[in-house]
Amino acid sequence: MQLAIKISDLSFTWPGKDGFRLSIDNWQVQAGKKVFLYGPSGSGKSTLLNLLSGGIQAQSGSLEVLTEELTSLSARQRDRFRAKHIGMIFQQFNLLPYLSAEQNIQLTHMFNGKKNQLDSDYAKHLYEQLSLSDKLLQQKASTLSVGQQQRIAVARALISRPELIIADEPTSALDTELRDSFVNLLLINATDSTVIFVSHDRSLDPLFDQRFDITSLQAGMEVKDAD
Amino acid sequence: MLIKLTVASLLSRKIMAMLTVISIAVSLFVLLGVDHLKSELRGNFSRTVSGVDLIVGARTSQLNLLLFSVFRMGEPSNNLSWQSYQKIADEKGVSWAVPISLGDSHQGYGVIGTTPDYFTHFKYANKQPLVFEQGRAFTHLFEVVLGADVAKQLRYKLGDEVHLSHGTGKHSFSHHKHHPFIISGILNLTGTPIDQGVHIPIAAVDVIHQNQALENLPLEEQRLVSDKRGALSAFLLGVPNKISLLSLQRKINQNTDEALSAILPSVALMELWKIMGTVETSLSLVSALVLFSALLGMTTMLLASMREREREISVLRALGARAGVIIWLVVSEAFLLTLAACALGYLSLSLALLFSQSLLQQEYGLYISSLPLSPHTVWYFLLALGMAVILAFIPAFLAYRRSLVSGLALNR
Repeated sequence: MQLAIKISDLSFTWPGKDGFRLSIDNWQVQAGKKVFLYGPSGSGKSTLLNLLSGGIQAQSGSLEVLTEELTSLSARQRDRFRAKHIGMIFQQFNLLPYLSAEQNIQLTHMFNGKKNQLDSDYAKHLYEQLSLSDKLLQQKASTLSVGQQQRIAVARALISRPELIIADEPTSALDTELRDSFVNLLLINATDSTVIFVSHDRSLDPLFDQRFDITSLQAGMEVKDAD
Repeated sequence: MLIKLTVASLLSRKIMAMLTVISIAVSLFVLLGVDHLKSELRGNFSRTVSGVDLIVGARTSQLNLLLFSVFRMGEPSNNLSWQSYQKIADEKGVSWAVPISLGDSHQGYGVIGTTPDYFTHFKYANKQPLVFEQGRAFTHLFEVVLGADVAKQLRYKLGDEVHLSHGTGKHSFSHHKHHPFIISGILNLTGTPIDQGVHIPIAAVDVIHQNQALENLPLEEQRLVSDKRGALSAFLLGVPNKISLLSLQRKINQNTDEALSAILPSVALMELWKIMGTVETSLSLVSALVLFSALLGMTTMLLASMREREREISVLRALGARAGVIIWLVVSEAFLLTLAACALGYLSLSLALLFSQSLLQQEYGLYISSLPLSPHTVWYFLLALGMAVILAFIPAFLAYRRSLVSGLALNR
């Protein structure tokens, strides 16, 4: 079985004298698994996601994502890797308010180097699945309701069929009903992808294949100068 | 596609973008305006007088003499006598002499008393002679030749009667109402103060000041007499031989009967340029500084907007935009703002010139052509754009650095 994520002896420290340090001795995720990652705030969830998506570079150790060794890639190569292989969803969905819904979805294609290969059949299928009407797609993102925004955010993360989807607390601003529908939409449409879903809301974890506590991944959690 | 993103982002910050564009446009307006007026003024002055070798007036500075005699700016400080004129006109080497007498006006247009020789000897631009659009030079005492603008603005045609007033104000109360002048000719447009001139026989100037009715003059007096005595403001000389020109100038300046000044128009113009040059340089310097401060203002605005755009930037980064894209977004934003400012500055200056053209022409006798899109103008635009791009690298680079250090800034 192929591994989507393979970490060994990884260590990262944020710059600054009180910088937070994350170190993971060993963690593997198989391709296609839906993983639920939880832990209290400040436990390093965002740092881990940043490392996985190539936003930051580990100081030591090995980090293989989709069999690519990220620690040997330059910042620019990691940006391209992210654009090509990773779909991301954020806490407040983070649509650009001045673009239309459709333009927001297609932003991914602007950066992943295969912009002319937008699979229109797949896009149509995806829009249908997420019940995104043409009218809705032409609307400015700033005019959309929260429920509409979450569907656009899912579409944006899935449109380029990424092998890995990273979702960072996407449900924290939603009420229970919207939260459940959001997670369902994501998981139904991301059957082929590996999903790393971060949340502190443990009531969601039965929906996932695997669940990890980030604090148990930490080799030796240490926060300098912690009084 | 990236440029679309820049435009959409800018449009979402309309008011800020508009104010920035306006502040840069205003500075470009001033910069281009000063530059244009500078070259137009030089052109105006240098095309006004040509083919006149010496200008003679009562003792005064050469600038004053040049300005009042040719450009109709300022007043003659003193008159000179007809005897001096005759004495110098008869000097060896003088091929022609034309007297002029100033001081009266008609509806704000200056009256020039002179002789018919004026129309044959006075030249403008590249030694172009004056041409009659209609009619001919005056041949009778109470005939008048109008400049093209006077005829056009006051809607005069050949044969109309003109009433002259004493003094140079537009609304003079002491009209010389007993002496109507008949229009004998209208000159072609020259683009010089000639167009603003009302030309009458110099003999008529004396007559109207004696306040006599035309009917009371003997018939032969009504005929134009060119050697009529009276007070003169200045006279123009043609001296073809350049060597005798300088000795004649010295001789006139040392004249003992009456204190006189003789000037070479080109030398006096040089002095004018020297004075204007200082003013022009300081104006250009000020407008360049204004442009620089407007661009600095834009940089400040960009820096401030970086904070509110942090989320936007981290979204783009997370979607795979490399850090270079962030730099590109900021720099292209500065470029677009400045480009819009160039267009706005150019258009508003063109419009302002269009609307002020006739006013400048009527009030100051200045012919300001409309704004050309010359290489010079384009150079200013390129300078502004270049400076904007360079300055934009400051906020762009800071945003780039921050995005590298803070990763994708998730959950901000």
